[in-house]
Amino acid sequence: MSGRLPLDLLNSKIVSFKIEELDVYFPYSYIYPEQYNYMVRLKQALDAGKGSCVLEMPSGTGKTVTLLSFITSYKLAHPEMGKFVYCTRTVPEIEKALEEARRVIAYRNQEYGPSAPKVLCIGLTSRRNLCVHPTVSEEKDPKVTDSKCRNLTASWVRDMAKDDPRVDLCDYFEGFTSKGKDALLEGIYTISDLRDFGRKNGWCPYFVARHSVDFADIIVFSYSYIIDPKISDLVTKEFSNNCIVVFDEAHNIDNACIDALSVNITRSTLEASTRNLNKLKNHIKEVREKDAGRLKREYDNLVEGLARSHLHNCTRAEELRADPVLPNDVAQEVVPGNIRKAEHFLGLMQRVVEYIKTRIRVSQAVSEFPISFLNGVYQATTIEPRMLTFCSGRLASLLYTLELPDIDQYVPLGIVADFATLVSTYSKGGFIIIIDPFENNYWTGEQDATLQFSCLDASLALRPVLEKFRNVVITSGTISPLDMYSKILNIKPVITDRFPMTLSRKSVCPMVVTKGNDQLAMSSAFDVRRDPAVVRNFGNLVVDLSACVPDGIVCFFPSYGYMEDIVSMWNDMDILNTILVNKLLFVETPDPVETAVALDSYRKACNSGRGAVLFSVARGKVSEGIDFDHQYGRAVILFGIPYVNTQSKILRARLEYLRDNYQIREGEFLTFDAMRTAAQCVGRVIRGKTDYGLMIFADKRYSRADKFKKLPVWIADALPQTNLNLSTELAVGVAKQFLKEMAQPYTREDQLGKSLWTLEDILAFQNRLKEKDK
Amino acid sequence: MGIFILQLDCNFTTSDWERPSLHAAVRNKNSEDGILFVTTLKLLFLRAGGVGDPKADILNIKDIKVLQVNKESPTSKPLLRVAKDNDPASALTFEFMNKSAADQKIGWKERDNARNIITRLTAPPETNKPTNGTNAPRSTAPVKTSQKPTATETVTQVTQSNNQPPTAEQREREQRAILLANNPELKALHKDLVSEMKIITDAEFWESRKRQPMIQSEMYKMNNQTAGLPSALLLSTPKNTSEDKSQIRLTATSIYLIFKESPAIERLFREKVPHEEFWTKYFETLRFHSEKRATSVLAEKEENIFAREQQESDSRKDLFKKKVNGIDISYDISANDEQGIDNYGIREEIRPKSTDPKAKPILPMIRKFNRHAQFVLEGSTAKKSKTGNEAKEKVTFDDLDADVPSDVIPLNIKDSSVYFSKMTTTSIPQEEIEKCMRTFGGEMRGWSSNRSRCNISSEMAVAVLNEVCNPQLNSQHLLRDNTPTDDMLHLAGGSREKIEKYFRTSMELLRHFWSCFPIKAETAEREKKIIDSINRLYEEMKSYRDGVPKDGRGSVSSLMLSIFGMLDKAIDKDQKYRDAKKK
Repeated sequence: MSGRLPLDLLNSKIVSFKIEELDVYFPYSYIYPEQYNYMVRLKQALDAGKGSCVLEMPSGTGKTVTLLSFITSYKLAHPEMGKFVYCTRTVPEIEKALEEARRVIAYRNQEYGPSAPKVLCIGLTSRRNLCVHPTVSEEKDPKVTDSKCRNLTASWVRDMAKDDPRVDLCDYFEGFTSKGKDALLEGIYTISDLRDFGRKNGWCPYFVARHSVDFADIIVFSYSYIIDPKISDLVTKEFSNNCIVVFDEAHNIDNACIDALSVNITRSTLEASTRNLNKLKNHIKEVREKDAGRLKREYDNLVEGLARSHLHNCTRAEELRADPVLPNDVAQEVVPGNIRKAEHFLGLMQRVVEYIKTRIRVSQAVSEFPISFLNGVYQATTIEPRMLTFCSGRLASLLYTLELPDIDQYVPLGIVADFATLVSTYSKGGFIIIIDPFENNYWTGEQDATLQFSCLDASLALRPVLEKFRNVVITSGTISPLDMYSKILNIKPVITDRFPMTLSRKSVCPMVVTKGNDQLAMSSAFDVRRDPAVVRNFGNLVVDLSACVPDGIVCFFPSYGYMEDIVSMWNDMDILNTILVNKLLFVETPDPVETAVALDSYRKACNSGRGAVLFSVARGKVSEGIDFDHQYGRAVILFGIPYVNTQSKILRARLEYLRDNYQIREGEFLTFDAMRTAAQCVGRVIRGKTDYGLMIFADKRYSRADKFKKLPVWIADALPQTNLNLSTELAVGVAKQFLKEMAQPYTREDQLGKSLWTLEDILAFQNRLKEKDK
Repeated sequence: MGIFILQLDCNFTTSDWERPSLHAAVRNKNSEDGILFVTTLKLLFLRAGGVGDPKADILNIKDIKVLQVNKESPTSKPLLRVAKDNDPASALTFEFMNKSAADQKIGWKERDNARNIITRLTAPPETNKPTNGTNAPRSTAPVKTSQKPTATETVTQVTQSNNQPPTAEQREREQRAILLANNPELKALHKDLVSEMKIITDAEFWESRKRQPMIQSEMYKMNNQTAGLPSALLLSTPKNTSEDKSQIRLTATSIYLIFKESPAIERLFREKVPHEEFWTKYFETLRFHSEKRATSVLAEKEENIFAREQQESDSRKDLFKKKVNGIDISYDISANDEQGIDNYGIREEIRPKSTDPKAKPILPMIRKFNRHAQFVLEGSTAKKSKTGNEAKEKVTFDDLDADVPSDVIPLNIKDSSVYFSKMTTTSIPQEEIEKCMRTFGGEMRGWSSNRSRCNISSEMAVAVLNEVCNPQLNSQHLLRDNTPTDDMLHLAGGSREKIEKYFRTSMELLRHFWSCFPIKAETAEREKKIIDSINRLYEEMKSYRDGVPKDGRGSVSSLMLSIFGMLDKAIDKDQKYRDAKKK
């Protein structure tokens, strides 16, 4: 590590500093030691050439800004590097990452002056979030937004509009096609910036973003754009190989990978598919009467090329989902002759749908490997597996040819076709089919069932990404234990590291509350979870804390059903009304729109000083994307251990698969999964080192070593032995003491050198290392 | 099902700085009887026997531009007319009623009284100095008294002669006047020191307060804090398990809140009332739903008029859609990027539906709580959260930045006693508590000699003991004004006020005294004047302390000790300064 003196030592504030001759532009005057160490490890990983790295950095220590600042600096020094692709999970996180990028780039430009290198940094999300069309943007269902957009922008609609002025078109899309296509954007565009930009210029923000992604330097979007083959094929296929891909908040990446290759079908999907088929038949008849040439042209195309080959001509406005299978697994063959004709193909689909309908009529859960399912299909319908692989592509081609309006109504048939393609492509292993009946309606006793085609191996979807791109960085605040991730993702990272949190005062206060004031154990274990005494103890904990913790308190429950039960019992016990005396109360509901409004009010209540309690679910929407820093979360209470539903057959199948292929014991994986969820919930409470928060684990089982040892090191380190077995009363005492300590004035001087570094500290650190090396 | 006894208290609530100055029985122009309240902030007409639409009959004092009265004569009725402007639509006319036939003049008196009060409240600030008597007609006030053409009515028009926006100075003066009007203690102090004793000038008096948030114009607005709505659910009816009766105290405020929270109830109220047992039924329904007794008497009773309201909640989706559009995208969890098709990915296990057909659906209850919290939040006038790009604020790490932003909002509690007492309400008046405490104290001291006589009722004694033993209430009394409770409680009525007055006066004087240092030529004289008055005050306090009867002297002197200490410091300082000057 070299320590050449950088530009400005006068005020000893960080302007830019060097890590082994690399200038790093960091947009703040001070830096956390974790951030510096993180950069050092990141540099080692990028220098090592192709490969991946897994890094854990404590939540709230500025991981995003570190990544953005370092990688943009690295790219500046190595112009041969491709795009910087930053993937995160939710739209709020995308927006925040873009804001941080703005700061980083603005700072760098200021340093460079007029000669600053030009940069385009852009966020990409679905039409639902980007649309500015007055009526289409009113829709809150992404599927409907997409379809309505298509109705206004598809090439045949625009052709029609040329002759008939009554046909509606989207002015923004027209604006984009006439002028926006050649526009060269520059700078940072967050999602709201894009919308403002679109409104101002009359260009559709969605298509501007899609267009700009091809030549942007920094792209921020969600995982699905790179992991899910149905989307990545449309968006990221053309990206060059020397890109740097970062998966932030990657603690759930395995689930995202599995979701990307899984599909499920219910009875209603099948019913709708049948209706789709009938509708399509009528359409084909109509088209044949009016414009038989269109179907003929499609037929000719299919004779000459692959199923989707002529879809490459379609515009972005018309495109449908790509193949559901991974790029390397797409059938590179000409479509078989007996499904080239539209009617024949529909006949095949009809038989597939009918077959699945017969299979789904079960009274007990059935699990089956794809190979035996395909065998069953062949026995019953004489359809060969090879034919099924073309279903998805052939359907896309047909839908394109028919130029259908309201394409969203054909989604059910698309799902069946995707399922057919998936099941025939992945018949080898790593997948399973589970048919699970459930009671749809208690009153009528009506039965329904799901056919779940599930991927069991998270590494499958990630593999093409790892193979293609030069560097893949997997990082999160809570990604412990690290070796578990390398196992389940089947990766061999170049660098693996985790950083403890340097603190000059104890600003996180984890504690395990094991019993109520009546000394009765608290637990969400199955046998006691609905015991009124346990529920009352949980309730008293919230009541007591709501009286002494300022501003916001967030409570997490292991599942939505459990939360409903508890809230209902608390209502009967009058606990909710008691909480209301101290703070307002907000509860997450299954409806994301309703929850978004409640969350907004919760934040207002915290801002105004009124204070509020938010009940939320550990794996729910709120726990995934929202930070509860500063006043928004002075305490997090976790009721019980958020185990995933162990009764789930899919989980059972996955556990079996992990045991057989990766030698991971079932219990080990379940605990790992529960503890990462727990860590994720409590980790949201802190951001920056001036922030502080209580982390309360309310379950006696947390006090066992096998549980709390699985927490990220920065939380486990802050958890003293004395806080491992507290009653409600003692916990409130500890909380009061902690809050009193935190209320004392806290100056930068207390932090400097320890948890906050100036440029001098960096240099001193580098010199120490140099001497050590000598 | 319990029987509910309702107490209807039709007091309208007043904010703490809003003090009622007058109330009188009046009749409005629609011949409806009611009571007219004049407070420092508004004029309010409350109809007798009905709730009515309160909005129409509230007029803010500061909005009043026209005030008219008629001439007193045996044939006419005492009338008062107020209006916002010359628009007759906004005008309110009241006839003052004669309560007894014996004194026919009462109506006229009250009318004049009301006129005087309104004139005073609406008068420009500089005339609002407490130098004049309260009810005397104002000769110095710039109130134009003009004779209306009809000549039968005297028209007192309170108009702002110029419509130009007030200058900064005017605004400041206005604020001072409002401050004085709202704070009787400050008013008394101002009267003593500035107007009567002339120790300090008016400018000096305000100069030393300039830095105080109250006088700064923006801060003043902030200071106008009103307590928000109570967050506890009104419907949390007391759950008496032993008794079959519940008593609910229903005030105008709580009725208002119920209406505001569920407009359906208000609609019902308008339709059904007069309904003999509207509120009883309402609370019965609430309790029925909260206790979810499957087989209740109520279930078989006549069709419940509230049953509909309980179900009305699901039709709010559109409202949510609208609301969600206003949310910053960085917090909008509904802005998901998943493709919106549930059929891709792993379907979450479907939770077996509850097998208990009696089980209440839980979602409506959860919604009720969310809605209630939102309602309370919207109802509070607390500072709205900052609009603008929250994401931008959010991404900065303030401790990594060189310049620490100083946008900390200071804690702003205007009257700390409100803060401690608002949570619980006590029905026992403060004087009673003090009286009891005194008696108990005496009782304890006189235990052996058996000479004291107890003259309080036993119920009151028990109630007071309960109050005092209740820790929350106890702290309320303890924390009051930061003075030792027992000393304060032992004081006889007058001495408490006296000591408080001494405290305030000496604080004011000390503030001016210390602001004179370091002494320059121009402040020397002022310092002299102030130290003289401090000395005078010192002597006065001393003689007062010595004059207090023996049994109260202990507590009085302990209370005054710290004041004396502070005055001593000032006198010492002055002495040192003079010694230094001599040398």
